[in-house]
Amino acid sequence: MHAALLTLYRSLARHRLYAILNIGGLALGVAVFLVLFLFVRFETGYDRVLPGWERVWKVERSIQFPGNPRFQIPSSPELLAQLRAAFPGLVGVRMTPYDTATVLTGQSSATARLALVDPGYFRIFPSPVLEGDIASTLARPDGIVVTRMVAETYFGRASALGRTLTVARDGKPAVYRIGAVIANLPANTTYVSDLFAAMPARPAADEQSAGYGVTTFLSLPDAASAERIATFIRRHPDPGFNADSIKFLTEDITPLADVHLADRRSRTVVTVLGTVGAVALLLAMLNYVNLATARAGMRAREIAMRKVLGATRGMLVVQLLGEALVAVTLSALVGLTLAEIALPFVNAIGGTGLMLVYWGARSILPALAALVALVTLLAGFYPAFVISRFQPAAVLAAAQTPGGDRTGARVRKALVVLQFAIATSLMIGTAVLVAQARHVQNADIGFGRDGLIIVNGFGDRALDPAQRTELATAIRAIPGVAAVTTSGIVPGGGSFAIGKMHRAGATGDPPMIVQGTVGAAFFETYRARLIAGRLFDPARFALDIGNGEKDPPARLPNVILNRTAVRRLGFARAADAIDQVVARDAGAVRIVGVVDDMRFGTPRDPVDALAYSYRPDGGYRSVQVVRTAGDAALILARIETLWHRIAPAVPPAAVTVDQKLYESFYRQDVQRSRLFMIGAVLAVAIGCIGLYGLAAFDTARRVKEIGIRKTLGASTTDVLRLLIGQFLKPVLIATMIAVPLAYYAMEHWLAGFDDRVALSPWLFVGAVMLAASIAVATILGQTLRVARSEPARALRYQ
Amino acid sequence: MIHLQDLSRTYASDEIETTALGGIDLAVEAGEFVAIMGPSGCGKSTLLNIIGTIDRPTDGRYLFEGADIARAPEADLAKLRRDRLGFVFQSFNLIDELTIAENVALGLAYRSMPAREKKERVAAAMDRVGIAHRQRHHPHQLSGGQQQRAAIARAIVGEPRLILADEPTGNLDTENGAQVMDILGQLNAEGATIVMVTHSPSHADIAKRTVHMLDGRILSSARRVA
Repeated sequence: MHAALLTLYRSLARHRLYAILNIGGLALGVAVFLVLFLFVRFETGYDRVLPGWERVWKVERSIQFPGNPRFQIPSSPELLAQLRAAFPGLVGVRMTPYDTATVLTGQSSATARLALVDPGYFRIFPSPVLEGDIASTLARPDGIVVTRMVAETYFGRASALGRTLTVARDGKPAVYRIGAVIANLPANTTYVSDLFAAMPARPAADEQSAGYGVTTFLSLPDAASAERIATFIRRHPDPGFNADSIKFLTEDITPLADVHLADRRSRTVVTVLGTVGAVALLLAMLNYVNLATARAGMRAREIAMRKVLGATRGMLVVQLLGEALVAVTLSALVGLTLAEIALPFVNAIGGTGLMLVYWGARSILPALAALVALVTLLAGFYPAFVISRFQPAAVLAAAQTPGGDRTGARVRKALVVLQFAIATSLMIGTAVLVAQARHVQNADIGFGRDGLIIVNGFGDRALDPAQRTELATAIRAIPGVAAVTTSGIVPGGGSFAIGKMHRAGATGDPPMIVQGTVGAAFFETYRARLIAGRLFDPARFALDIGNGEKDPPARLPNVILNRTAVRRLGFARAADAIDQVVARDAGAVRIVGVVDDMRFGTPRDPVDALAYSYRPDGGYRSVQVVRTAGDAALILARIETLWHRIAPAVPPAAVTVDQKLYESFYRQDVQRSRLFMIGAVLAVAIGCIGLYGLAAFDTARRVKEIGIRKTLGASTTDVLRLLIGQFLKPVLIATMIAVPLAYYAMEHWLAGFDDRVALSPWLFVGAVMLAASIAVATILGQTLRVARSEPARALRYQ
Repeated sequence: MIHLQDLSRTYASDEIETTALGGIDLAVEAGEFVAIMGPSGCGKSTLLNIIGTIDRPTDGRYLFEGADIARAPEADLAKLRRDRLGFVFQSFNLIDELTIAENVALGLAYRSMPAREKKERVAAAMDRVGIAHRQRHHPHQLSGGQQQRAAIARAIVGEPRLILADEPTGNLDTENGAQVMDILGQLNAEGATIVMVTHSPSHADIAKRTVHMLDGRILSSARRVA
């Protein structure tokens, strides 16, 4: 074994290029695999870090009106009490999150995540207590549990116990006393918060009216009891819903561990990225097999000699597998180092918090050891099998070293085809992903998104009317502010209602249409496109809000519909809708205008059918939207300065619409696309390493043949054409496999988007050309060198 | 020691069947030094390879010390080569990645014996052929004669009963060839059985018996008159 290791070491040292290609390629594969494995483990491990996660279930409630996307809605605050009455001894807790609570300190304020929880919350979601006592804290109405991060932010290294924090939710400040500090929650937990206070026994009156709801968690011993609870919930729908809506309501319970990846699209992303990691590793393994069998010829003499000296085939297989083990272990260590170096970069651009853990329960080492064993067996077995099969007599008698038989050559070619098919598919995938990411960020979404700022703080109920007026006036006066409007409905969310609209004479179920409220100059500020009729008009303000005084029909409030709403109501053309009266639950309205669809939501879902109503103040919880003519960042800074002066107790919360859309809808796709792209680019690089190694091997073997061809009159160009042509043949076959495969996969992925790019043939042509160019560039250097060599020297070559 | 009876070897490809050896009858007794001669392609090396068990006969019997090994399992043949045979080739077949000492040690790589004993045997074998001073060098740093002597050291380090040499002087100049033949002569004198393929009549003269071959058959077998 000693001599065998020595042979391996010296062979690697002597054939440095081969060693770099082989170990480097495999290391790269291992690194890509490790990083994406961490990602998959992070995503699939959500909430599994909690002790006892297996027993925690969450009550799910969602509503989906026909033609609309499904909305998740909170569960009823009374549900837990009902369940306890039906199932005595049931353990459950409720939680209401306030993601935009405000911590007030002196003259400044900061947004924090507050959760109102039942006293037993931490029995289901245990968290290490750093100081204080959770039970006694949550038993008091003014007690609050904070995370270490909050404690350190406000009180530094001093103990936070007994200190007070003023926290405002929905504009109402309350003073809390810190009774316990817990460790920061792990990154991959779904229900996170910075502050935990006791949930009041009865919600305040205005909270009830605002659709107050809770998230309900249950601790159940097994799936059978979960099924009993789920059946009970389905049989007893929430009586709080009206008869019309209740048929669209779905209630169920789901294991906590399934919540994070409940959405099919999230699961697809995790599967796809995991697959890219596995594919990168597979490519690297194929390289190893290819290079090892290609190089087998160079080792034929050594192996034959070993056989002559009495080595059995079994001994040689063990030796060659041992070599593979050494090479794979070395690659794994280099790969681990590469992954460690790459992780901060990957985390930064992928928006993840991945890290390699070496010791303890989540140690990467057992997984790495298993990986080494698996790769050794998979990648080492075939070369060991081929090489150990050499017949010593034939090898030793031959003047030239053999290069493996025809089967070996065929296997190598097939592996190159497979590699390039995968690489080209990934390249096409990357091209489509990049095109789609660009598209959603730059596409026409029905309004001018550049230079728009949303001032969300304007909807904060902590602002008093005087402050609101003063802020509105001051913001309007900032140089560079071109227009200002207020509305309940804004890009990325806002407040809106949903209800039926009925056109006279229409048959079938009336469509559910989102009802949004807007203030003056809304459409002008957004630069919406008017298709028919007119926009709301300040000169006809009374008419538009339904206070016209002459004949009764004019007393109807006016609405403006979007294009989708017009279609759903069954009007053939936008113009047909104008001046038509449609019925709503809240009374009839007259359509005065139709605007083009404005995409305020995710590019994945279709645009909602929308009816805009006019309200002087923009409506319930309206926020301000500012159209800037100048530098948006500068104006954003000016708004914040003004804000701190006029309303210091309210966080300003202003962002550009671009930022808001990115954060709400694009960020995750963009980050996941980047991870995919990195994986794909590296997989292609691994494929190129393989091709380069094979080209080096193949051209070296053909030096003599090329010498003869040149002696017989072939020019350098002829030889180049021959060699490159032969190398491109597998690339061509690979393309024929890759294109339909990638087309199918990307069509499937794009089907998840309502606003999507078309699968242009140019994306495919571009990716294939790029793959072919990379292949040619990879082999060109060596091919050129051989093609240009003098025939006499080539003929002397052995 | 060796009895070949009606031994033949044919190579079949898709289109044609070539007979490399046909109806070979040959006996080699312990302590003999047999030279096999004949024109290129007459089957000398094939015969030597079959004797050395790195090729198998298509037909016939091969008795090695009384046991028929023509169809013995590969593992048994490997053990036979490991324990009883030594090979010397025209093109040396040293492994470039290993030093001379390591190449010689390869002759014991598949035997279990204490490391110290292996070391002593390797040193003795190198001494024996006069390349001890080159033990740390790699094959490509040595002359052809030195490489062939290293190959002989590798062949004899396991103290084989039978040494098979396939044109051991074919790649060497006269002087180096003579040195190699001296070594083989001494080994035979010390009791080793040697079967050697050669083109050189003068080197064949050193053997005790010369077998002439043509077209895969043995034409004559003549003992040297001392």
